Amino acid sequence: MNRLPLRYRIHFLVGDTRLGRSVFRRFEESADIRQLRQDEADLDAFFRQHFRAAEPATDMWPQIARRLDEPGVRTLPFAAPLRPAPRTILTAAAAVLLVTALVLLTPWSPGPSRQEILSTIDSRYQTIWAVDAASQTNPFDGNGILESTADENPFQAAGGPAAASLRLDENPFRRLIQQD
Amino acid sequence: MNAQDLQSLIQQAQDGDRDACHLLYQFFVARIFNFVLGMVRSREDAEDVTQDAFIQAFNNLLHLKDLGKFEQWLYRIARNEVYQRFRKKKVQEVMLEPEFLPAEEAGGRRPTSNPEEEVLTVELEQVIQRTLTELPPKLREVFILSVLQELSYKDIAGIVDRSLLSVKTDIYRARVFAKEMIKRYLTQG
Repeated sequence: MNRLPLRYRIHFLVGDTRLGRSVFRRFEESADIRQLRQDEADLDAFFRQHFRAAEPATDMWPQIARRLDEPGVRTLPFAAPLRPAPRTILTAAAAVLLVTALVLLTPWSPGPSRQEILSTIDSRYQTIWAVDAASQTNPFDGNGILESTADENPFQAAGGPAAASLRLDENPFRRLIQQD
Repeated sequence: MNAQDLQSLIQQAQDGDRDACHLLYQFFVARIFNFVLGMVRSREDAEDVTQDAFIQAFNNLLHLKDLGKFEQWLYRIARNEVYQRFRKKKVQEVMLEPEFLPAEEAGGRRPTSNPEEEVLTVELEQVIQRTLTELPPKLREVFILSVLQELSYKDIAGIVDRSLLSVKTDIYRARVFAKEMIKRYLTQG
């Protein structure tokens, strides 16, 4: 028996495995094997008979129960809110499904194009610029003050506000949009 | 307690029933404590480790999916706690002296009326304890689980997280080792 490799001996000795059964069939009549098995059984019986099992202390459970009651320790099993009822889970899942379906099914509008935005901003700016230009008057042009002595008014020669041309590239709103 | 009752109890404990936890504790504490004691060889450490193991188990009971494997799972937690303690404290293993466990605390055994028999019993218990102490932890744990706790090889493999063949090999080696130790102690005596 001792000539057998350890792995075969183990399969034979310990159990109901395919290899163990084949080894057992081959060696079951062997006196060595029977002796070996008997020795194993005797050893186990000797330990079970003479091993003195110790009794655990009687005050262990109160200490465990107290530690389970400590808020920091009570993580999973006793924290009921962490385990919602199945109906709550189903309701939450249905809500998520509904929102997802709505998001997916609602036609997505891309909104105005960049060109349209710039065009609108330019048009608004033109309107503002025109109104602003029309409302500007030279307080020093003397109109209504020195009507008869227009040539004596030194400021009158300066005329009205400069008739500057509209330059769309100076539109600050357009610049902001283009920077974006 | 049959398997169905046990699973029902575990289910109740998972739902937060403290009485069910207490019953589970009562059912398993002696076995877990003796396994741990066999490993750490100090009653004080064994009690601490056993407490920690049950607290870990009850706090994480919801993670246990297969209720039929509760015992294996509990042993595994206890084993992990033992090795954590080994790492933390580098426990100097202390052999339990017979005086350490008074006879009335021992499971089932009562002092006999025959003084000679009593002396022999105590000596044999010492031999057993010494043999267990001499076994390397890797062999000792599978030996205790197999021979003293009488768990199946499959369950032991699950507890120690090793292959079945590796467990069988270690149990075989542990038996050979234990046999040699006992022979030596008995011939010395």
